[in-house]
Amino acid sequence: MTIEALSSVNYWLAALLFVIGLYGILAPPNLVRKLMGMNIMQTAVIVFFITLGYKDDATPPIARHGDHEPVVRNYINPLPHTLMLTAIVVSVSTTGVALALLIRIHRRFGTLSEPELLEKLK
Amino acid sequence: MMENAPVLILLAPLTGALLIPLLGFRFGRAVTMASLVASLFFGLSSLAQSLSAGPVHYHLAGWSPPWGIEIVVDPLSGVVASLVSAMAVLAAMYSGPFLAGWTRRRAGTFYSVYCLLVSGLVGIVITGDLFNLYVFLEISSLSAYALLSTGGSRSIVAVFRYLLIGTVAASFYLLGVGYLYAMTGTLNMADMSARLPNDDVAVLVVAASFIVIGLAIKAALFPLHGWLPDAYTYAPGPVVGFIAAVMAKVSAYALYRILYYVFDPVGGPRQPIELLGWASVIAVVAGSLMALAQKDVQRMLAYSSIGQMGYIMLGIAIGSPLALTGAVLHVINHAVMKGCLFMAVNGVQWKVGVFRVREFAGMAKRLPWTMGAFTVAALSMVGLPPTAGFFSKYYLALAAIESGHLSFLFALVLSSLLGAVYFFRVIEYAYLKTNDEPIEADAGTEVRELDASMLVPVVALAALVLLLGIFNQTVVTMLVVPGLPS
Amino acid sequence: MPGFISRLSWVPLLAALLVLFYVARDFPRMGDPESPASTHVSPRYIEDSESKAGAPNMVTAVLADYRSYDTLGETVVILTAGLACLLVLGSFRRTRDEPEDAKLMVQGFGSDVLDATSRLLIPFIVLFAVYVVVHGHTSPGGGFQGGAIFAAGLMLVRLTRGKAKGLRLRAGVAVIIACAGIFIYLGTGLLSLIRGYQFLDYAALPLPYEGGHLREFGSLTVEVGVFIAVTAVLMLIFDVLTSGAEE
Repeated sequence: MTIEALSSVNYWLAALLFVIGLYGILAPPNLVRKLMGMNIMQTAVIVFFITLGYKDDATPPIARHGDHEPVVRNYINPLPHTLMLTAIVVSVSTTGVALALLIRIHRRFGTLSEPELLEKLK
Repeated sequence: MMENAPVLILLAPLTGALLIPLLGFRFGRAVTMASLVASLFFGLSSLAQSLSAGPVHYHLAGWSPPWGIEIVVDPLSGVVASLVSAMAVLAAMYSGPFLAGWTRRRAGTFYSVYCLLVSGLVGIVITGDLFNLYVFLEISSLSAYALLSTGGSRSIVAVFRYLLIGTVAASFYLLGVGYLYAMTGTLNMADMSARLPNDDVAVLVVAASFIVIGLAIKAALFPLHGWLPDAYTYAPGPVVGFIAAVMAKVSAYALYRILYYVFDPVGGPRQPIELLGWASVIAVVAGSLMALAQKDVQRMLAYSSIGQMGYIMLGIAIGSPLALTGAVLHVINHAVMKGCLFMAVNGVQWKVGVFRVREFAGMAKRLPWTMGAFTVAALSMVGLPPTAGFFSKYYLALAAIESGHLSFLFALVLSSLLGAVYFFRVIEYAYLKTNDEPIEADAGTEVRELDASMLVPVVALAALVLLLGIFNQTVVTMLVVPGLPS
Repeated sequence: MPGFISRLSWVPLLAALLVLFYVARDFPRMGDPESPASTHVSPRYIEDSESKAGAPNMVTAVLADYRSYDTLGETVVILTAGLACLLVLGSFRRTRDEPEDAKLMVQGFGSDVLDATSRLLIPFIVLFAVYVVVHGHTSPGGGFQGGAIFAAGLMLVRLTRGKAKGLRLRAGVAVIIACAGIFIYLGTGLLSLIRGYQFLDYAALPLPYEGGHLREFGSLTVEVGVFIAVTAVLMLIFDVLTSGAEE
């Protein structure tokens, strides 16, 4: 593989995580596992965005003390980080609501396995 | 003050949502109605402004795009935002009796979340920034999950599935936006459409596909519709009319906005649009067939909605001015028709306790106004003139013929015929069959009709169905055509 | 899902994965300083965040100033999650046999070692949370981060002492506090509207400062609002999930 292809590793990693998460939602019968798969999917998107902001030999996007005219080349891109703060909050919120639903399902039906649930709902 | 109308469309329901808990969870319904009426007012005034002076751009926090976020109200988004607010007002009116027995805190929380749902939907419609759309998409989704979960234990399982699928959809959308950001460096819709490369780069096709898949799931396009039937069938009375009428359509609107205003419909990736076209045709037919097979009226309406979303997506996929006119007109018409139908059926369920077609026997005698409204809306769904439904189907059929896809035309006609069958079945039972048992309400008095607060929205929507049909020409020339891409 | 669909789902997923791998070559190289994302829009954020937005921390400048509308939406998302948990689990009646962990949540672990250690830790956690919020302009931090840390400190109290002796926070009160926090955020924006500027334009604030310094106070105010809201909602969700809200 050429050096050029290797530089796509971050995009491959994000894609791999995304597909693993998607598999986690589709394949396991347990609802908690599905929830974990959903979380992994969201994390994959976050990883993807963060890697977009990186610049070679640049520092985190906080202006150094005394540096009142920051040179763009020296600081990484702050925008993906900002966006992903929002995405993380959304992920936490969705997980919280999903857990509340799971607790209620468990207390009402006694099971968290999807095939059993479908049986009980018939 | 009025130059801030665009942002006030959103701020009104948001303030209402925050105010209700701060007032000790009291006055939930009053605050909701007031803030939604205010939202409608600002929506209509922004719409009027965009019709006379061109699209209204509002730069938030004082920063101009693409460094800041902007709100864009053009005739299309103004119409859809006003539609959302209007349906929200009617649904809030309708919801009163359902929440009568709830504790003050629970009812207040419910109304607060309802206002958040409306603000989320409005936020999606008026935003001009792709990431901002994601944030409001999640606000509306989370509040919808919350509201739908109050419908009993069956709804909990349906909502969990909806949550999983909805979050997958949002993740697909966000990944697509990420791909676009990597290629252009901007998130503003107008800026991005200027910076996207014109040729068929593989990344663009994948990005467009992700966004299409994500929003198509939210719009319940076949075969990604799996979450809808259960979610709508077990949905609690107060919100089913609003959610069924509006939620999927806002996602369809977002898809339309991105496909035609961000991507270049002519030069950009064609594959996702073609896929969309074929999926819509299948949706139209499959939705009608599945609706035919249902015994539960509400589930029948849910499957019918899948077919109707297919109509809208079909118009979006064909893309000609005629097709887009039909699609936008159908967004308006279907919201009104389906809202009326769901509210009527839910009202019957609430008052009389029945939900199967057979049990509707003789319903017309007992709830004459409700079934009258149902009939008007049903005739519109089938597509009989002069009801509104006829005209949107007419435009779509013309577009199908013009584009040479006769299979589309065939699907339209077939689904209308099927629709006639399953709607007339209900009407037949309601008007022609008799049921000798008198239904008694709890107090022992005979049930006459729905409560006023439930009946007024139902009848108003039915009247609107007729008005939209009769004044169809005005609606198209004044509201729909200005919103088409130039 | 039917069993065979779930078991075979890896096939189309693998195909999708290969497509994504193939497509990745069209992306700019990671770390490329000339990529579209690094050369368009973001340079202005980097150059102007200290001078125009008053915050050397560029992420906070973008979050609380340039894209403050997004952050308002984000705070509303977390409020919605809190209200949603309340609606889902709120009027829940306990089943006959309370699970063991529910009893634990009411009493706490009750260990002396935990008690003593948490007494040492919690003041510092709380102090650190406030520091993270207030200092978010010049070091990594901000309202969300501070709120999460603060909530973690409060949760530690809950875990060691249980709900009975730990800080009482009724669900209704938590919601009111959260709404008040977001109202601070909204109010700042409305203040700008009233004074004739755009929504959330901090230049409108009636403070005796100029330019970047003025905007810094606007960002700080909204961050404080976010901090209050996030703390309250996280505690609400924690309480609702662990023992069901009190009616």
